[in-house]
Amino acid sequence: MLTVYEPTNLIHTIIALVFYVLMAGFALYSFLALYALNRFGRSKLVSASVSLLYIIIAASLFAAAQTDLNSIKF
Amino acid sequence: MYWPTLKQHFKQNLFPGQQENEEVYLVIRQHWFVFALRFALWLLFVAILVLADQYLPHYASFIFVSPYQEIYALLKSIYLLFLILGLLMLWVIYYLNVQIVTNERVVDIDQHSLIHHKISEVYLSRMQDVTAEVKGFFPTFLNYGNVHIQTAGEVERFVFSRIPNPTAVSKLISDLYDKLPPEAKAPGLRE
Repeated sequence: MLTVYEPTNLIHTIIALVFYVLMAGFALYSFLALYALNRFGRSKLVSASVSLLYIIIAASLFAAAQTDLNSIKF
Repeated sequence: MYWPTLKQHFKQNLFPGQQENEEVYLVIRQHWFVFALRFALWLLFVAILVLADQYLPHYASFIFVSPYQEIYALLKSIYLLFLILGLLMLWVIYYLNVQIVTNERVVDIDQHSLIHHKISEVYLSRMQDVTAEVKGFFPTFLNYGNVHIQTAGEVERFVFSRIPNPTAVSKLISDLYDKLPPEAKAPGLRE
């Protein structure tokens, strides 16, 4: 498919920047929580199941947020 | 091929430094009500989202016009992401706080935050005094509270915080101490 050049504006860029900074923080804290759970958790099965469930939910919500970001048009 | 390694991985000790012949008598976490209180606080933040969805169309209808509508949807998605992260953090910190009583010692594993993990242990032979404390309205009705363990030669007391049935736990610890051979007990203690 032909890639079409899409002009962006400053406001959209700033919103995208803030969004990705927030997502970086979210990813960092998620990693810390999952690491602590899998490193120190007593039952590896519970830790792995909760981690998997969390990753699925978080990935779905991230995809929804990304779609919302892309649908912003000024 | 990889099965023994996998089995070994899953069959790990309850806590670091657990001896081969060490018998675990009790593994406890904080009372479920402690987590329920935190969960209720988390639900308040969920309620903010629900109420915003309910009342914003009435009081701020301009938000539902493009491009504000899309920005509002984005903010909602980000809020949801952090809500789910908050719930994970609440549960992880609750789950990783464990107290273990064995026939040789008492181990308190504290997860104060995601990057603050502390393991304290006291040998039963060094124990001086065990106190169960139930204080407050909910602790009295739901039977949870603190167990304080005073050890020989230490100013700071060892505390199991807000555990279920503290009286039974303190009795178990005392009974385990009584079962120790006389030569193992510190002289002059618990006469």
